[in-house]
Amino acid sequence: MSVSTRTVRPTLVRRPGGAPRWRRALSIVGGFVAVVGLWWLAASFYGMPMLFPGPPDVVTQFRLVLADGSLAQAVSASLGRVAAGLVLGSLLGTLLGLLSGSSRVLEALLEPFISFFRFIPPLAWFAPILLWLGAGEPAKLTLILYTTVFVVAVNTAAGVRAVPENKLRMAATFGARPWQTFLLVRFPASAAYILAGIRIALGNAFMTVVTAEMLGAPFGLGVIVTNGMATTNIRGVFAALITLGALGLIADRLFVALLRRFGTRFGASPDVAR
Amino acid sequence: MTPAPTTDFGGQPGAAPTGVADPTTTTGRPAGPRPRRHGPRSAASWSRRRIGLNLLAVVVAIVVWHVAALAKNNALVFPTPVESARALVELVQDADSRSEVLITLWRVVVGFALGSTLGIAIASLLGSSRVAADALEPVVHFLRSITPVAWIVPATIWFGVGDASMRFIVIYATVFPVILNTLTGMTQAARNKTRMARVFGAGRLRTYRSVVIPSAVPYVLTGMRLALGYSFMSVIGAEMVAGSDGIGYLIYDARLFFDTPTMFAGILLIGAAGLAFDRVFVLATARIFRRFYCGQVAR
Repeated sequence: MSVSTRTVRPTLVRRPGGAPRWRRALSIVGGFVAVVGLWWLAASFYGMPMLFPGPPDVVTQFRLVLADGSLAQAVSASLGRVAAGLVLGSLLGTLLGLLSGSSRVLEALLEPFISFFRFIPPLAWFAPILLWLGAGEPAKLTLILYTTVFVVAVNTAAGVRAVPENKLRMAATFGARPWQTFLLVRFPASAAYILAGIRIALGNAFMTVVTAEMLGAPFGLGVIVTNGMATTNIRGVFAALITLGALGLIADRLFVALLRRFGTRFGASPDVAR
Repeated sequence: MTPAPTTDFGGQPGAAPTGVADPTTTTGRPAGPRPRRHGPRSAASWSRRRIGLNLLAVVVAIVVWHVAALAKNNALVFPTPVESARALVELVQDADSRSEVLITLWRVVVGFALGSTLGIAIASLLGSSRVAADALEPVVHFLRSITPVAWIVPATIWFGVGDASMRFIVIYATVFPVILNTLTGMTQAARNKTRMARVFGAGRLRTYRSVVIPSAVPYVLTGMRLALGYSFMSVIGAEMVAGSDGIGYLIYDARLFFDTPTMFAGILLIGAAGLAFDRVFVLATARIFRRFYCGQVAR
């Protein structure tokens, strides 16, 4: 019996490490270059830089707003709102999630609200929030809180429920009290899930800050975007959109890097969602 | 195997109702339903109790809302549930506003269908080439970080106020979660399965058809489910900012006239419609694509 010597190309099987680092970096740069090129083509095809600015127009705009400091002002205002909302929302969400995850009854009580509010965008709360809280910072914070708290809660609850049974058994065998089991077993074991939830909440916060700033604010990236309608300053809108996307992306990557550095102890695997 | 993190809200690409076995969380407990920890209560009786608890929570919330609204005693600022329900009934009974509701739902359906199709198509192209996936995934993440609401201004300038720009917004909101989840699904085919396919002499296309696509289906469906939620969110935003009809516009209009009960009715309507669509989607896909879940429960 002869052994087939035909070499099989490893088509879909990937090495665990993936492509070498430099090739990955190169292809990422290539991707961005290709997209910018497409954008440039589309813009020059459209032919109206006032309405559809190309990359050079937007670069000029960036230089302008970087020089006069208005971009820095907008970024710091928006980032402050994102950070405050995210921290509050994550704390509250973790608390809610720990509660609902450790009791089926509490979970069943919270369930209907979580699945109902999921479909109501923050923008729909715009008017009630305006009526109740005015247009100030608390209103903006509430909107960001609204988009962060449920994600974290749902993920935390899933994490608490997914604690390996054997760990709980071991804790019971060693005579752990319920609060000890909770604090020393359930909470650390669900850390990975909590962090996954916070990561999504981070993205949501970056999205909602635009809506929140529609309420009116002295500074902010969302303000630039919203006012672009009235002032037809589309170049400014583009610069703000790109900044928003870049900030969101950088924050996400930073979070993943932190996870990789500090989260591995709790089994948080950033590679699940790269 | 433990369930993957529930990610009902965001476009986390790694999340799926079913996943590849994660060796770090294997418990050694035999597969099957979780052992009962609360006495010998049957699953059926618990699911009845759960529905009872759900209802109880809703009733309590409505009562609290009612009491709070009565304490506030100002329907312009905080209407009672009764006033909101009355506004809701009026909204649904009136032929004009009913057509607004249908317009919004139609926008959701069309945008969701187009966006999902586009997302699956793009992801299949990207997923078939490692280089393309590496190159364009960051771009997808970048674009995803920009909220669809922020595109409303450019979209109305390019496509004008109306259906075209709203369709653009909804497609923008749906396409990225579908792309990311489909990509993840395509790379998550269990290695031993692809190995087995190779051992049996399957070529690239055959492996695709028989291994990669079936194991990606649950991920694609998760992406689509997320996208459905996003399309609801974005369509309301688009109608509020740049629309002249639809539920979003109704809410916006009610705000101008200080008709707060109608505003609340609109909000309730979105939540209810979204929930109904989600349930229908989950039940329908769980039934249609059951064989791709190989014994796991699609939720």
